[in-house]
Amino acid sequence: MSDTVVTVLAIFLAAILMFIFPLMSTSDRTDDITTQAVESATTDFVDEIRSTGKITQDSYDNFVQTISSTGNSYEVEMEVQVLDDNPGKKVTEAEYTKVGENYYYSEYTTQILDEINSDAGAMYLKQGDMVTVSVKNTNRTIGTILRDFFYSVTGNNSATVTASHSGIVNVNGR
Amino acid sequence: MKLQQLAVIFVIIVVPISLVLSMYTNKNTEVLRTQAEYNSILLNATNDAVNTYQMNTLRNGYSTINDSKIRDISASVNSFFNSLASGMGSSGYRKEDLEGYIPALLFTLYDGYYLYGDYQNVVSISDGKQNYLTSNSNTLSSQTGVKPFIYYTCEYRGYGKFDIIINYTLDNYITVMGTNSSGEIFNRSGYLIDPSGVDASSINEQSGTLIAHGVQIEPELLGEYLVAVDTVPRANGQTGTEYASREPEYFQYVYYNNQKYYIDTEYNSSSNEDNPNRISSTYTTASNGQGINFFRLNNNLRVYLTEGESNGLANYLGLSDWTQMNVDNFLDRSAFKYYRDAYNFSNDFINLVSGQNLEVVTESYNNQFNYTTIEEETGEQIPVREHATYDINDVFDITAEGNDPELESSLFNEHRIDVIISSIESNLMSIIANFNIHHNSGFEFALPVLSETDWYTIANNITIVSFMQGLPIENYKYYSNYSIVANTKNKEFVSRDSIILRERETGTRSNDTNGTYHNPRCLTLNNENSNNLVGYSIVDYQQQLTSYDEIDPSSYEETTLTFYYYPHSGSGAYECVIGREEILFSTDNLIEGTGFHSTNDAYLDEGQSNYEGATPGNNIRKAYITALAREKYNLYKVSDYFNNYN
Repeated sequence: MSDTVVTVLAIFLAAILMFIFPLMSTSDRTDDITTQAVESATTDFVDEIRSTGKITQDSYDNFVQTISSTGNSYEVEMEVQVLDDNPGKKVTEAEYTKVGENYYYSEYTTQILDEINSDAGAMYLKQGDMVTVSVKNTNRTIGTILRDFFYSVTGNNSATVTASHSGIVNVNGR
Repeated sequence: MKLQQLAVIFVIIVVPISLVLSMYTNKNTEVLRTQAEYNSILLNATNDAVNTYQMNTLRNGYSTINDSKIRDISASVNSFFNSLASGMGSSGYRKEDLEGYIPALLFTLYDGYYLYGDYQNVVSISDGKQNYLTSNSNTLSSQTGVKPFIYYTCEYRGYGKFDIIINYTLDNYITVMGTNSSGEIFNRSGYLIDPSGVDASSINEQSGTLIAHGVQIEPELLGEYLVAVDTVPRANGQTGTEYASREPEYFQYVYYNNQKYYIDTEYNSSSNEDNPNRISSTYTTASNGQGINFFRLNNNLRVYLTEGESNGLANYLGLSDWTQMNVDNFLDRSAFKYYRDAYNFSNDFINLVSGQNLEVVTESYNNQFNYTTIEEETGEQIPVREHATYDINDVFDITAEGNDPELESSLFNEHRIDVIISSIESNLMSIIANFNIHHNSGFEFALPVLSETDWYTIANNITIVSFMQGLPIENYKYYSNYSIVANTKNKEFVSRDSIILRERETGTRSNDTNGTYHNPRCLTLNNENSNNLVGYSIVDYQQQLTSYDEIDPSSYEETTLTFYYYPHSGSGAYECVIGREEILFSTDNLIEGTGFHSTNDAYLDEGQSNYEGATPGNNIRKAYITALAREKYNLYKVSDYFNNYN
């Protein structure tokens, strides 16, 4: 009787060890490698924006294509902070002993996409503007599904593949 | 074998493989992150270096003098290393450690460049004398510092004794030194333009007018806001400094000898004449008893002109003597002089080179397409730069269609860029390669492949380029990258892109602060079609400060008073200065008066369809061309003594 229980347990354990553990571990590795690919694609994309001063339809499409080729679906969030020295200027003009501050106003993904999808085909930035791109996956990767089988992480932040990069634009785009 | 045993063997095999793989990929991710982090740190440090340079130069009236430049660059190098060290602080690198990973820093300026790097000092000082070491041994430790200035130079040979050296700059200003085919010396400098762009019959010395690019160039009214300091007599018979006014005041000015000369309308008024205590001690009266109300600035200090100086200024403005000068004819003639001199210089240059079969002698230029570097991954030799070829003789055929050197798209400009790049490239290569001699870290320092966009940035802007190599990161890899930051706000160079237009100021602050200034390429500005536009360099829209130490006469307590102001008030337009979406024309469109390229027609939204094929308005072109010519003409140029035209 007890022998049977042990055998069942052993088979159960063996199944986990033989199938699920390697599967989990391989899919985790896949996610890691995907993260790497996405991270380097994001870095390249942002660095290109910084060194050319523009976000073009072309480079955006390329970027989306590169990350999609990893087999997941992604949400790309972009933010451009445009340097606005007018408010600082107004402070200084009214009060000569004060140095004005520079302000930034932000444009976000939809506004940026509107602009690059328009006829202009690009969003042009100037030196001193800042750009941030962050990416996270929206689908459940095999790694996530298997992990959820044993334990699940609650909350919104369930993305496994994430990357973000940001920096100051170095040249005037146009 | 039992099932359990198989399972155990399987696990024994798979678990270590999985663990090792996991470690490896984690490390790789780490490496990527470190690389990205170092990239940012390097870029930020370079940015800081540029900011330092801007801060030191923009508010310094003498920043274009060479001594001052070296000092500013050394300061910039310092802030680069400080910024790098604070960025790297968490990785445990100190400033001293980092010097071993920075093989070179490049500072490109208007007519040449400085390299910061490693060199061996063969001079030692003993008894106050320089002692040159004759041995070539490497026993001396190396030093790092800014190396001597290198000009953008190229040498050409033609028939007979024709042998000239041309010094290029970031724009169309060149210095030609050498001999023509019969061996006569030709040493000239000036702006090279297509002389057919200037209507020769329209040149009028007396009125200071001519027609260039189809627009009338004429004397123009310029003015700016200032907070100036005066030396004033004190009650105890001493003189002290005092603010002329504590809020920005509007003054009309003209350029003369590369400097701004202002007209002061208030000092002629009775209110000031009655109050001698408030009048600057440099203020003098002429032989006819009138006060001379013209001044220039010496580090924010107003220096009033003497009678002789003001007569010189009057002659320059086409007037007989200084009493003739008033606010109505105190008009700047630099743009006229720019085109007149450029016209004469370009004709002389055409005479010099026409009929010559030129070839380039400069080795670095001829070799530039043979340079190779080692591909990091594969170890292959790959070309550093690939480029189209063209005939050198076509470059100097400046009257040919589309080859006006003022245009960005001209062949001359392409050749200029090639000369600049080849010179920088060959020197950078050697300085980075030399770094290996003093730093045996096992890493082979070499010039990385710079992308064509990066080279373009370098050849068209004042830039700082930094290289960081050989920094060990995980997985037995080395970090190796460079970063380029352009300095678009400087006093040394007026690029085609650095002119900002606005309505001419009225001189009343409350009016002028409400004004808006635009990029000349802006569509909205073109639609407004104002005929009272004036252009100033972007530098004049930057914040200026005036500060001096005020000493209390009784307690001798010192307080520093600082006032910030903008020479041109108003705010930047959101569609072209802050954001850039309405910038439609290229600078070539503005200069030539052509419409934007047909493929760009799609730029227009539906509501603007009537602008298809639009050309920039003549008011904008006139203001832009005049301002660009004026600002270029008044740049301080080292080789100006070869300019025999003014």
